[in-house]
Amino acid sequence: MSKSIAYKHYLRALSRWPKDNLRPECQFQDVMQRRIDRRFLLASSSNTPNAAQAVANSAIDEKVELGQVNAIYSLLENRYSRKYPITGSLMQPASNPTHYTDLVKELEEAPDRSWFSRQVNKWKGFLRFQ
Amino acid sequence: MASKTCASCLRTLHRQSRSITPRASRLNTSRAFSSTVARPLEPNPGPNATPRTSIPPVDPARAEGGPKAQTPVSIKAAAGLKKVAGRATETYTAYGSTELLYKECAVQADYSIPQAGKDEQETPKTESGEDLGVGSGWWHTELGLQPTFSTWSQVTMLHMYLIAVRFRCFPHGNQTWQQHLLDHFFYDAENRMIVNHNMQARGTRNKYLKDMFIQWRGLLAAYDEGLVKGDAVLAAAVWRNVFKANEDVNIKDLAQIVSYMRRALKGLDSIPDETLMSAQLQFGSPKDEASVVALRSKMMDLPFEKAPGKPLPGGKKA
Repeated sequence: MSKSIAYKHYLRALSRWPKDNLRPECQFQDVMQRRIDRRFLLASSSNTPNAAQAVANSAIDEKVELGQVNAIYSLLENRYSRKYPITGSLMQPASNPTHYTDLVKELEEAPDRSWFSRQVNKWKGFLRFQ
Repeated sequence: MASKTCASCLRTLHRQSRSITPRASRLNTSRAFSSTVARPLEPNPGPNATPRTSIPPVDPARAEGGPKAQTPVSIKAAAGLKKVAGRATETYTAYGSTELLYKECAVQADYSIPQAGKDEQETPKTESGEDLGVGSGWWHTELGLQPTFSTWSQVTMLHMYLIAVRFRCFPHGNQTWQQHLLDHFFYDAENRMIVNHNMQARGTRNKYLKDMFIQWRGLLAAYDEGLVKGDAVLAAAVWRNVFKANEDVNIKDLAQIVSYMRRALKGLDSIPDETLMSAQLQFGSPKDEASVVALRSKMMDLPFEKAPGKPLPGGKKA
């Protein structure tokens, strides 16, 4: 489609983006893939009268797109959680130490639950026995 | 959903909340937030000020003689009473402190509608039909989000989320504090709907408030998931909530917001409970994160042949 370096970077970066099982219709990597296909396909097939202008246009595109793909890489490599690590007890909150582990377990199980077990859970939450 | 406190209690804790702010010099806010004195509340809001909450106004003479005229004796007496009364007074102090904390959240993407209240003028609308206002925060000017009610609510809820994460670390009273923070938000949101957007019909307002509650619950789960699973998942959650899954989002801005959230959480992690309970909190700005985002990633230099990506769901490979 395009020999652009930025495009290749995009494909590599987006392929490593974590898949979201809870929101299958709204995935970041799918929407970004649509966007880059639109942008790079348009750039390569547009008819510019001036060859130099075509080069200039694509140069502007490349720089901006490389900046974007650098941001994707920075998120994939967890740059920000490593730069600002949590050293205290934020992730084992005193009011409920297993909050985050319970949440992750719940999110993993939720998409696969049957209708019946969802109803059982709903009523379990409503009626709580001490 | 709202907790019930009587009118005289509301007056008491309104006065109490004004006495909480000690005099301290403003710290240099190059951090994502800082512990500093909250802005002193002006006793006489100007003619165009929107009513902040539905709490009955404090007697102006008393408000004027607020923080500056506090005697140490009264503060000592209040502290002594708190020790004696124990946790019974916690809900009242929580109500007052969360109001200040909430105001700090709400000011981040604040906007105003100059045409509100004037019958002849039509408010300009965005493409999707929302009222378009005027705002000057980082979120409007640098990020390019439109100053609408939904932008304001999403940015405010993001900041409220950061505080809620820290509330969870209270050994007792987490529920109380979170509930009061949420109540302030919903009171203020409904106020804005009436004053700025002229929604006189209670049914319409309730519909939007219910939607916002669902958004809040979803946002809690999504951002928590991002906290645990890493920056990419957090960025996806911010993208869905704040940017409404916009295809043309600037990914550098997304990374800046994630960096800002991480820095704020690290800062919140390091402050003691009392600092938050006395509402001595001020958020910094995401604009300080631009340099971190601009750093070149090592993955840019990995050759494509040696470190290819995994096959995409559509079957394309790098």
